[in-house]
Amino acid sequence: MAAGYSPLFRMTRLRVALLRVWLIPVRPIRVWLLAGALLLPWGGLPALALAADGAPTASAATPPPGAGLQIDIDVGQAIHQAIGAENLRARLSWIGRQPRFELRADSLTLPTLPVSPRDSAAPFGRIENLQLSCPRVEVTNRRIACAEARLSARFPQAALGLEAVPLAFDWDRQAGQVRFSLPWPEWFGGRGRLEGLVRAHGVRLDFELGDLDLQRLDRSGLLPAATLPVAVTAGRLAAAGWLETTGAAPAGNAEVRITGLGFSDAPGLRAGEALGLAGQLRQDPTGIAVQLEFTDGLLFVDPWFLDLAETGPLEVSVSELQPAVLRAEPSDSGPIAPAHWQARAADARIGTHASVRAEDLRFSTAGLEQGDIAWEASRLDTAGQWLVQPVLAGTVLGRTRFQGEAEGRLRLVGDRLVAVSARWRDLTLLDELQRFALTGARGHLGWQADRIGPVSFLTAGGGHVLGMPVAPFDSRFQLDPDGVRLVQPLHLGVLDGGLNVDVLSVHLRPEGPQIEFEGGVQAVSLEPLTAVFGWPAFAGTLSGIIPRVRYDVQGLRVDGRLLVRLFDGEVVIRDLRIRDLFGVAPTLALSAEIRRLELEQVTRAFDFGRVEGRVSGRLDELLLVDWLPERMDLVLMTDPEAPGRRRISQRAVENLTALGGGLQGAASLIFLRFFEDFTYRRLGFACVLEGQVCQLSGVADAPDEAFVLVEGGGLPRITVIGHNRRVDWPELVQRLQAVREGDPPVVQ
Amino acid sequence: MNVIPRLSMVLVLTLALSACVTIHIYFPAAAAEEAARSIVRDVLEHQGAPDAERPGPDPDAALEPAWRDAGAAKRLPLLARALERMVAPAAAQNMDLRVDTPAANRLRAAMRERHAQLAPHFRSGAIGFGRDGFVTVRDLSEVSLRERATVRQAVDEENADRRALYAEIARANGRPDWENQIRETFARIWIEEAPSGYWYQDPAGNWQQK
Repeated sequence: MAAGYSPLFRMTRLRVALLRVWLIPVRPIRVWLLAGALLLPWGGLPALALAADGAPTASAATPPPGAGLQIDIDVGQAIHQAIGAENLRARLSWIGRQPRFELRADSLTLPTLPVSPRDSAAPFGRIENLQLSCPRVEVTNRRIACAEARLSARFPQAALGLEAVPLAFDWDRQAGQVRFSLPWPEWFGGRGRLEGLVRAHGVRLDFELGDLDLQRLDRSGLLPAATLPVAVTAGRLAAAGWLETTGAAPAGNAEVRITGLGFSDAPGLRAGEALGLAGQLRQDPTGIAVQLEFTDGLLFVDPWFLDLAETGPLEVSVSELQPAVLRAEPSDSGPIAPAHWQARAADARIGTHASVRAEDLRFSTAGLEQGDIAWEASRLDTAGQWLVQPVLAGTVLGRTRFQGEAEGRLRLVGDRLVAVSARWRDLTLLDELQRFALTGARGHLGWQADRIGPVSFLTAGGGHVLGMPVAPFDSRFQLDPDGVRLVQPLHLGVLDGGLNVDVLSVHLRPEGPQIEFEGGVQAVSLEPLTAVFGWPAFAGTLSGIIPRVRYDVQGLRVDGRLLVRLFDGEVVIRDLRIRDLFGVAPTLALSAEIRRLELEQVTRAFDFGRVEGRVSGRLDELLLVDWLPERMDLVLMTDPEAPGRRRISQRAVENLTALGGGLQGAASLIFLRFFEDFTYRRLGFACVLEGQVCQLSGVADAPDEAFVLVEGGGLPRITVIGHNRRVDWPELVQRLQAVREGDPPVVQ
Repeated sequence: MNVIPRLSMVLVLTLALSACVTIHIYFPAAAAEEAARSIVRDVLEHQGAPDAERPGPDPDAALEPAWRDAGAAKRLPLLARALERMVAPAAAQNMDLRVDTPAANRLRAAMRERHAQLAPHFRSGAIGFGRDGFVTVRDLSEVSLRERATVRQAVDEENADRRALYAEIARANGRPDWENQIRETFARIWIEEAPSGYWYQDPAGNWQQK
C-alpha cells in the first residue's frame, strides 16, 4: 500500500465501497493508474493511484450486452493536504479495445491560489458537479493521455460553470507530471487559452486571455482588487502570463492591458472613467511587483482630479509588495486580507510634471505608516494646480498658482512624520485673489520631529502683500519640532523703507500660536504707498518700533507705536490688531492720536480747495473689515496751540458744504464768490461711525440739533453749520470721491 | 432663652451664604437658535440671487451682550448680591447673542454666494448637511468626474467659512469657549431650515432627505 506514495499527499480514507467488474478477456491493465491520472489535474490523485493498487476486489457478474469492462470506483471522501473530495467516483470502461474514462464528484474543495490577498481562492475553492469524460484514452506504459476530454463543473461561489469544455491532458508517468490545456471557457465574455503543468511539487498555469469583462470579473470576486474598496463599473482586460507554485513561494507574471476602465467606491471619492492602462504584474519570492502606465481617461482620487489627456501618462510602479507581519494574527478562518502591506519601493510619475518615489514603505487602507518619500515637481505650474491646490482648498494658499520647480523628502516612522525637507528654485506663488505674491524664490527647509533642524533659507526676488510691493529679501531660519525661528535679522523692503525683523519665532502651543517678535518699521514713504492703494497721493513716512507681537483670540496684537509722519504732523498708531488677514473678512483694528496735521497739505492732497491751519485729534477703535471702516470714533479739531494762519478758501467752503448737504439759498453762494478765502477761528468735526452711519458733530453745537463745522473769525465772517447729524457713510465717501474727481458739487 | 444668639447665627449664616455669589453665564440657547436661524435662512433662501447690498444691521440680532461681569458683582452690596444670585440664572437665560458683526456678515455673504453653486448638489445628494454643522460629502457618484474636484473645493471653502463664522460669533460675544455650542446649534438649524430635497445626517449619522 505504500509503494510510490508521495509524501505530499495524505490519504485519510479511501473506501472502495462498490466494485462491480464485468470481466471479459482483456489485456491485464492496472486500472488504478487511469483513475489517478485523470484526477491528477485536480491535485490529489497520485494518492488514489497507489491506494487503489490491489485494493479492488473483482467479482464476476453478468456481462452487459455489447461486451466490455466497466469498473466503478466510489472513492467516497478523499482528502489531500489541501483538497477535499466528496463522493468521488471514477468509471473506466472499455468498448472494444478503446478505453473510456469518466470521473464525477459531488464536490471538490481546492487549496488557496498563489496570489491571494483575500478571498480570491474562495470563488474557485469549491467545485460542484464535476464531470470529466474522455471517450478515447491513450494508454501506454509511459503515459496516459486524452486529447478530447470534456469537462463540466460548477463553481458556486463564483457563479460560474463549465459546460462540456474541451480539455486535453497528458500524464507522463515517468516524469511524474500532467499537462493539460483548454480554451478559456468564455467566462466574463473573454476568450483565450489556458495551459497547465501539474507536478508533484507544484502547478504551473500559462494563460493568454483577451476581452474579459472587468465588471463581471470584479463581481465574481476573482480579482485581487476585490480587497480594494472600489467596484469596477466597466473595462476590458487582456492578460497573458503564468502562475506557478513549484518554487518555494508562489510566483506569477502577467502582462495586462485594460481599456475603458471605470471604477468607483461607494461615495465616489475614488473613481476612474474611460481609463486605458497597460503594464505588468509579477509575483516572485520577494513579493509582488506592479508596473502600470495609465495612458488616457479621467481619474478622481479625492481631492485630486487628473485628466490624463491633459496631464500626460501616469506611471505607477511598486516592487516587492507583500503583506506586512506586524504581529501574530488569528488565521483560523483561512486567508484574510492583511491589514498592513509593505513594499521595497513605489514610484509614481505624471508625465514630465511631477514624480514621487517612496522606499521602505508600510501602509494599510487607512494610509501610509512608514516610508522614505522623495518627490520632485519639475513643473509646479501644472503640478501645483493638479496636486497641491486641491489639498490646500479652504486655506490661505487654496487659491495659489505656482510656478517653478521643487523637490523634497518626507520620512514617516510608526505613523508619524519624523523628517521633512524641501528645496525649490524659481518658485513663484501668485494668489488668484491678488492678496499676495512671491516671485523668483529659492530656498531650502529642513524639519525634524525630535530636534532643531538645519538652517534653512528662503530668498525671493520680490513679491507683494495686499498690493504692497516687497523687495527682494534673504531670510535664514530654523525649524524646530513645533515652530520656526529666524536666525538672522531680516529686512523686508517695502518701497524705500521696510520692515526690520530682529527677532521672530512662532511656536504652536495648545493654547494657540506663541509669537516672539522684535522689530520695527523703517521709514516707508507714504506717497508711493498711497499710490499702490489707489488713494490720493500724500507725502509722509511711516515708521515705528514693534517690541512685541502677541496672538490671542482677537488675532494678532502688535504692541508698540507706529509713527506716521504726514502733512507736517504725525499720527501715532497704537493697539494695532490684525485678524484673518487673508481671509474672507480681514479685520484690522487700531487707535491713533493725530497731532497737528497741516491742513494746507491735506486739502492739496485731496484736491479739496485750500485750508490753512492745523488740526489735531484722535481716532479711537477704528475697525476695518475687508478694508472698509465699520466702526470708529474720530475727532479732528483745530489745534488751539498751533500758531499760524487759519484761512479757508471759497472752494473749500463750497466743497465742505457739498459734503455736508449744501448751502442755504443761492444768495449765500453769490455772496461767497466775492471772496477768495476767509479766516476762521476754529474748525473740526467728529464722527462716531457704527455700521454704515456716521454720527457727526462739530466744534460746537448750534441750535436745532445743528453743529458748527467752521466757526469764522474776523471779516467777512463765515460759519458753516451742519444740520444732519446722521450721515450715511458710504454716501459721504462717495461725495468726497466726487469732490476729488472735480465733479461739480451737488448742492441740494 | 437663647433665641437671639440663634437668630444671629442664622443671620450670619445667611449672610455668609449669600456672600458666595457665583454668576452663572449660561449659553443663550434660545438666542443662539434664533440668530442661527436668521443667518441660515439668509444663506439658503437667497440662492443664486445677485448679492448687491451688504447685509445691513439687523436690529433683532444686534443686541449687545447683556451679561454682567463678575467684577461688577463684587461691588454690589450684600443684599443686592443675594438678590443677584437669585435672578442671575434666569436673566442669563434670556441673554442675547450678537451675530451681526461685520466679519460675520462678510462670511454670511460669501456663503450665500457659494450656496447657489452648491444647491444642486445638496438636492442630488452628492453633499449634505452634516450633523456636525459642516457640509459633508455624501455620494459624489452622480457628479461628473471633472466636476467632483470643483465640488470638493467648494465644500472645503464652505467649511472653512462656516468654521470661521462659528468662531467669529463666539469671539464677538467674548466667549470663544462657546464655539462648540454655537456650532451644534447651527448644525441643528441648518438641517431644520434645509429646503425640501436636501440631504442631511440625522443625529445617528444616517443620511436622510428632507
